[in-house]
Amino acid sequence: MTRFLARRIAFGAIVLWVVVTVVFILYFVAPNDPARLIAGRLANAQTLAAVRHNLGLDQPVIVQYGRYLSRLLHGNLGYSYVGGEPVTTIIGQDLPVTASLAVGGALIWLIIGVASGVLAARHPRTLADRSVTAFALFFYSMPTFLLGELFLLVFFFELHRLGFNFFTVTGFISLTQDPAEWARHLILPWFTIALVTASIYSRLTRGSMLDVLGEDYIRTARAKGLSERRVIYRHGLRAALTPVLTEFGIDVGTLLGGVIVTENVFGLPGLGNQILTSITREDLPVIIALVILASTFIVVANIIVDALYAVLDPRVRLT
Amino acid sequence: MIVEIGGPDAETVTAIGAAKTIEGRSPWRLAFERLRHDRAAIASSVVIVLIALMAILAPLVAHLTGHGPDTQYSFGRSPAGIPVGPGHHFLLGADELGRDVLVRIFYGARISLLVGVVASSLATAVGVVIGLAAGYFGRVVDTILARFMDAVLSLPYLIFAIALVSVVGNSDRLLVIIGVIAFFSFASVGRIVRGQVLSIKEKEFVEAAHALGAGNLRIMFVDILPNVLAPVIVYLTLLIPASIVFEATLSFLSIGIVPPTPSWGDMLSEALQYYQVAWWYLIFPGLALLATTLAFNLLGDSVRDAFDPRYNRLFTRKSAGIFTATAVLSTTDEDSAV
Repeated sequence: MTRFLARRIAFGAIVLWVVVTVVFILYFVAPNDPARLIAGRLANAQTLAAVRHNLGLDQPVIVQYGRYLSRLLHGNLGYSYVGGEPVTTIIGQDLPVTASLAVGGALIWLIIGVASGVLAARHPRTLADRSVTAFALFFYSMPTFLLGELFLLVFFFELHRLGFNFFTVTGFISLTQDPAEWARHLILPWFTIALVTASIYSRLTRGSMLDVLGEDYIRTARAKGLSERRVIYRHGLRAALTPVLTEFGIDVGTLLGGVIVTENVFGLPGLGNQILTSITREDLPVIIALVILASTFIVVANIIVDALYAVLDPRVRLT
Repeated sequence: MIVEIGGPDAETVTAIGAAKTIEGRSPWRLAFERLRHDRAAIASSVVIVLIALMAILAPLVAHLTGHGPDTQYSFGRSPAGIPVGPGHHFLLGADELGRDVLVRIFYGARISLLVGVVASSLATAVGVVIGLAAGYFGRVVDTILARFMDAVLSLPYLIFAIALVSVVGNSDRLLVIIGVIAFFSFASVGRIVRGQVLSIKEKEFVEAAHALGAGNLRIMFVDILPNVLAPVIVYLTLLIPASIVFEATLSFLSIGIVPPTPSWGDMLSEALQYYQVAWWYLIFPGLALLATTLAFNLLGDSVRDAFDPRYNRLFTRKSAGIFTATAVLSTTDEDSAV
């Protein structure tokens, strides 16, 4: 286990280093001129030189790269070109929104996906199974942003006109402030993220569950008189979840993509909207920091997922 | 040559019902026969053909309505600046600048299909070559290529796409989008091909080819490649709708196709500002996009069923899962984790 973790962490660190380097090349070596971005289009050569000197841009590339790495390792993500505040402050402000959205969305998609998959697998070829299949195909084909817009139109706008005001999309209420309002404001965004991805998990759980239910040990479990519930959930589902877990590791990236789109549709003040505004403002330090943050998150999530295999499936030995 | 894998067993052949006398038929022929009798496949193909016709006939529609795709009409907006709804002047309504939504939807089909087909074909071609190389050469080559593909798959692709597109700026945006989509899609094809090649290269006919003195390239592309094409084609059909959604999402986030070129994603992005007063602006482009992705996914589903007789035997045709591609992917990943 320790050896496995050490290897995975080493690989993760290499991936992160590559990401950081690619980002550095993209933004500091490629045709961009950060100094001009900061100083503005009208700045004269003298101002530009001063800005360049301040940022260390007049140094050789390799020196700049070394400084950039050492700053990152010290947890300093730089300062916003636009507002001048530390990027870590911006992240601190926006992270609760994004975390609420991502965690809630992922939970709902796992629950809906796995539950509907188990339902379909327990009654293969019935009406229930066919309906799950049809819904899965429909939502799988649905672009996240379109689903969000349709939610806005139907559940927010049209229901409001009919006098039903439960669904609201105005801003973000923090969890510590009022948990009930927090959930009410996030319910549409959560389902927007969840439904599209849940369809994949539904199909995956169904297939994997059908395979497992055909195994000999399931027949043995039934033969020794265990209750159907116990057979399905304790013996069946536990083994069937391994591919679902793998898919989840892969989908962490999809989750972040969904978060960006959903924040944009619902106007939530999270990191996703932050990166989009930073791009229109060409605020490089913020963009860089967010790309690195997202990559770190994905690398860590993947290591956790891999370690979870051993917890879920006792046959798996991590070496 | 192709008869090596996926060779149909007697059960499947009789199941098709067409086999009155036993005759040798290639898996391709069998798959095509199955597709021809699959109602979902026919329906989705019809929809795809219609959408392709939309793309081709877009100038004709512009001519018939007399509305150019980018022309702004003053009678397209009310004095308060609200778009005019579906009716006499505009069949499907007008947008916030007084342009014809119908004409723009037709032109938007061009971008979606172009990006969808080109990007996924490019991704598939690259994925096949890299997957073949990784699986066939093994050892260091495999370790590097497989790890590289793992890394690409685990990247936050949308964020990277955003970062890349923002660096490149507005020039050649279409090419950049196609490149970005292909880069983030080739790895899943590559992993599937690699997994297949790993088992196929151990077969006798590969050994025979070696003994006959065939070179590496010949064995890879002439002997092995035809045997992995079935899953590749299945994956390609599923990759097209994914690429279409990818492009639409980038355009929705205003980092895709540069306006005023009509694209469905950009229309839906503008529609977000106006959905409370102009539902048609959201609903019609949304329907066009959804119909396209749904048709391609349905077709991909049928193609997969047609190529995969094993799946047929386990479940009925209709209910076989739509995500074998992902399932194949997961099993290879499991191996590396265990």
